This record gives sequence, structure tokens and C-alpha cells, in this order.
Amino acid sequence: MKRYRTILAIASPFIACAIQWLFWQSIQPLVWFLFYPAVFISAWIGGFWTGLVSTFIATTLAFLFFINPNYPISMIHTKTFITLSVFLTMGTLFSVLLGRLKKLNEQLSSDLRQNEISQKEEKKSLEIKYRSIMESVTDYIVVLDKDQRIQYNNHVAAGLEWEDVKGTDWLLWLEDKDRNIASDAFQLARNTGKPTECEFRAIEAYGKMTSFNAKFAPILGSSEDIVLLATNITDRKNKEHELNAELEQRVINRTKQLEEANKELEAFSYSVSHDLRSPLRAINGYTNILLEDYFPILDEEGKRVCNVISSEATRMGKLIDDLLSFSRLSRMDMQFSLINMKAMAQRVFDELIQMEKTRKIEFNLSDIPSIQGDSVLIRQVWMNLISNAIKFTSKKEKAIIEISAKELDSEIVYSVTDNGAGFDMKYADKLFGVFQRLHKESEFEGTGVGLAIIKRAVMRNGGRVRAKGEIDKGATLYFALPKKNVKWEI
Amino acid sequence: MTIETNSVEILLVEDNPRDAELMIRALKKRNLANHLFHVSDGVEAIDFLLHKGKFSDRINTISPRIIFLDLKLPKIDGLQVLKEIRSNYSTRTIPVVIVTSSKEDPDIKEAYNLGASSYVVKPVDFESFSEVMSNLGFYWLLINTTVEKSNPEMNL
Repeated sequence: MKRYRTILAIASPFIACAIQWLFWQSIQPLVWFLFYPAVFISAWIGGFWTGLVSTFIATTLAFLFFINPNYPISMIHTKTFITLSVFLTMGTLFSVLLGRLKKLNEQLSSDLRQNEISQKEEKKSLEIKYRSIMESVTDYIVVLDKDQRIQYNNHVAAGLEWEDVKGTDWLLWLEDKDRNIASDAFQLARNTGKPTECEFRAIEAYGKMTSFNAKFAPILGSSEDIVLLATNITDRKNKEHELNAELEQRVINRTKQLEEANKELEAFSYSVSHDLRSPLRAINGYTNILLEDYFPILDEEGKRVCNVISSEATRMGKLIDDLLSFSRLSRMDMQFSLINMKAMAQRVFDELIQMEKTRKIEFNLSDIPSIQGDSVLIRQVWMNLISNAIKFTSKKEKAIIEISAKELDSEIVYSVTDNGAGFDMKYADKLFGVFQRLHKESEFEGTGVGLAIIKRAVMRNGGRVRAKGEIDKGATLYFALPKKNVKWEI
Repeated sequence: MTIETNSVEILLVEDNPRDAELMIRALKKRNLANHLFHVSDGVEAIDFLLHKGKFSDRINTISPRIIFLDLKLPKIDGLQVLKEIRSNYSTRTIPVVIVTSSKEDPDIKEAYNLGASSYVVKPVDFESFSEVMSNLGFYWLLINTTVEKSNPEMNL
């Protein structure tokens, strides 16, 4: 190839000479006309020396064929001398420049080749490095094509050869029931281009089924292939199972304990209900027998004492009743439903007002929203709140009871406001305790369980309570219930 | 208390003697306790009704018009007694009023399930208690009509 190029380079002035000779009639008197390109081509093809030789040949040929060669140098026409000088200079210049260009070019291409070779070597060593890294990973790294066929496996399970696995549908190696999940995870990764994850059981060493956690990820720059990283999680699964079993056992034990405690509590309140009340009934009854049968021989003080005994026994009976209903409230099963709060509050008020026909009570019920809750418990809340309001306004000439609600982001706050006796905010924290009373029994009767019942009922519905008041200016009791009700066990 | 066991109108099953006395006193005031018989445990109640044990020589005659039954009784409890009464042909139709201190929901449900005619919680307050008792006696003895049935063995 190189020889042909040299021959062509040397031949080009002759070819130029021949063509010029043929067309001399039309070219005349431009002696150097075709020799310029000939020298350029020679220098382009052959470099510096070839260019120089070609220039020399071209000059000789020009003298031989187009200028009379027999002239001695001194006889040469001035014009010819100038064109000759220009030709020689240009020929040399072409040779120098193009020769240089050629050299640079050669160097560049050899550099490139060198580079390519070293890159190839580097790539190869990197590949070996990565391959050995991949193969040393105990997890399975599998490359799958778009048809879910295995393209690459960093290692195959013991008892199998690469040839057994190569090109097979990877789902075949999975347990039947897990194939859908795994295929879905694969497709999702392919469609979204985002990594996905799933768990499945697949064949491991010697055909044993093993649990894997698998991550699917599209290979960067390749839209078709998906890389699958499968980690053996048998140990973890086993541990999870153990842990779960242990937890379950613990839950069972705890539930049993709770059930027992609950049963005991039930038995306790049952016997309280039964056994504590009957002696009270006896005290009360026999005191009354005394009053009835021995009326004539009892003096005034004797009668008064009998009355005190009787009324105290009655009061204790009430206390027991309230305590029991309080404890029953905590144990009761709950059933959630949508409660029309406005209708419920109205019904409760109507019911309570039956017993207070002589009183002047203004009842303002706004449009309060409905909410999810246990209707028995919530009814109890309204019952206690409204009866409280009626009770504590009994000393006012005209009672005003207002019910309204305020809707917040996650809850609704209902409120009952009265213009009654109110209370000192100093004792606000005591208000909702069991048997806590802020008024004398002689002023307002009651056992002090009502608000405790409200609190318990509201809390079991996932809500909370609050009170605001001022002595003689009335009180407002708030209860907030969550809009989205979750069963809340206290 | 010595009344003829064969002309019993009210059978009172009550283990607490104080409660029993107060109940009887309340009934007496309305003159309703003349044919009342009081037993103090479940076994006695069943024996009385079925003519067993110490009541085996009780002359067979008409059944009581009403049974006042406490729930918490020694030996056999009230619900068990009720079950027994309802499962026996000769006593099945006798009205049984549960008179008890227990306000517990499950008891009330169970009692009605077993066929109680009524369920009354004894008030602690004496006046209400007397009133309740006399009302009960008045209603079940004078207003209510029972199945006029002689003891089946009489018909044999």
C-alpha cells in the first residue's frame, strides 16, 4: 500500500507533464500550470522528501518539454526565471508543510492506536476485577432480559452448572405461588424504571427451596435488561418466625392475664353490687321499722337520729350505684356508628326537663355536626353534661343552657355552657376525678361521679375533655371527639 | 313461719333473712303475705316446687301464683333455679319475678333468656323498697291472671 503511494507520488509530475503536453495548445504559455497540483499531490501523499523529489522532476520535465532545455542558465528569460523561482519555492513550501502535517498525522494515529490498546487492556482487567467481585458476593446477582430470561448469574447454586441456568425463564426456579408477585415486581421495575422489591422462595443448593429477598433495578443505560439482587433470608425468616411465635405466646399470656383480671373485676363488682347493698338495705329498713313501730316511744332526737341513719344509708347506696356504673362503663363493649349529635342532645334534654317542669330553662341548641362514636357512651355524656347544667343552674331564676360545637382539623369540640354556679378554675384539674365534688352536698346533691363518667366515656371514644368556669358566672364543659374514630381502649 | 305448705300463693326464695323480713313486712302491710312461703336456698326452692327432699310429703295441690326469686343463693343460684323451674312441666307456667340486688347486664339478659317474667332490682331506700314489694305483690296476686292449673299429679 505504501509502495503504491510512493509510486503514485513520483508518477504524479510525469502524469501532469503528459496531460499538459496533450493539451499544450490550450494551456500555453502557462508552463507550470499542472505541475503545481502534481507537486502538491506528491507532497500530500509522500511527505517532505517525496515532495522535493517531485519538485525536481517537475522542473526538469518543464525544461525538457515546455522551455527550451538547451538554453544556458544565463540565457533564460527573466519571466521564466521568476516563474521557476516561484515554482521551486512553492514546491519546497508544499513539501515542508505537508511533510510536517503527515508526520503529525502519523504520530497522532499511532498515539490513538496506543491509547486504544491500553484502554482495551484496562477494560479487560477491570472486567476481571468486577467479575471476581460479583462472583465473590454470596447474594445472587442475575441479569434478566425483557423476556425474563437469565442473561448472567454471578454464581449458580451448588449442584447446578451455568449451562443449566443460562437463557432459562428465571420464574421457573421459583416456587409456583410466588411467581406472580415476582413477575409483577419485575414488570414494575421495567415499566417505571425504578427499583422494586419482593420476597419469594426459590431453588437453592441441591434443589432445596429457600426464602429470598429480591431487589429489581433497571441497568443504567440499558432499557431492556433488569438486574436482580437476591439475598438469602432463610435465617432472618427463621428468626422472624421464632420471634413471632414468642410474641404471639406473650400476647396470648397477656390476654389471658387481662381476661382473668377482667373476670376478677367483674366478680368483684358483682359482689359489691350484691353484698354491699343488702346490709345497707337492712340498715335502712330496720331504722324505718324502728320509726314506724316505735314511733310513740321515740323522742324527737331519737327520730332525728333514725332519719340520719336512714338517709346516710341511702346516700351510700347511691355512691355504690354510681361507682358500679362507672366501672361498668370501662368494661362495656363498644360499637361505633354515626351519631346525630343534635338530635341526641335534644332528646336527652327533653327527657331530663320532664322532671323540672316548674323551672324556667332556656335551651339553645345550635346546629352541631354528627360524628362517629359509641352511641351508648356518647348518650351518657350528653345525659351527664345536660343534667349537670340543669342541676347547677337550679339556684338561678332563669337558667340558660347553650350547646354548640366547633369543627377543627381532626376533631370536633362540643361544648355545654350554663349560667349556673360555676366553679373556681383553681380546682379545674379535680373536676373530672371520681368522687370529686366542688360544691357542698347541701347546695347541690350528687356523688361526684358524673364528670368522671363523662371523661371515661369520652376517652374510650378517643377524645378528651376540658372545663372552664367562674364562680357564680357559670361553666362551660368541652368534649372533643376525633373525626376519624379509632377504638381507644383505656 | 308456719303456714300450710299446700296453699302457698307466694314462694319467696331469699337467702338474706333481713331482706326476707323486710319483703314480708312490706307485703304484710298490704295484707298479701298470708299465703307466703319462704325458703332460703336454691335446693330448698326446687325441692319445694317438685315435692322432693324435705318437701316430699307436701300434699300435692295447686302451684304458687308467683315466685319471688333472688339470684345470689347458696348451693344452687337463682338462674339455675329458674332454669329448673322452666324445664319442668309442672312448674313451667308459674310466673317468676327476679328480685335481686344485681343490676349487672349479663344477669338481666340471662334471666330473661331463661324465661323470667320480670326483673326487679331491690332499692336500697326502704320506702322505695316497700313500695316496690307491695306493688309487686299487688300486681302478681290481684291483677295478674295465671294458668289455673292443678298439679298434674292430681289429674292422674
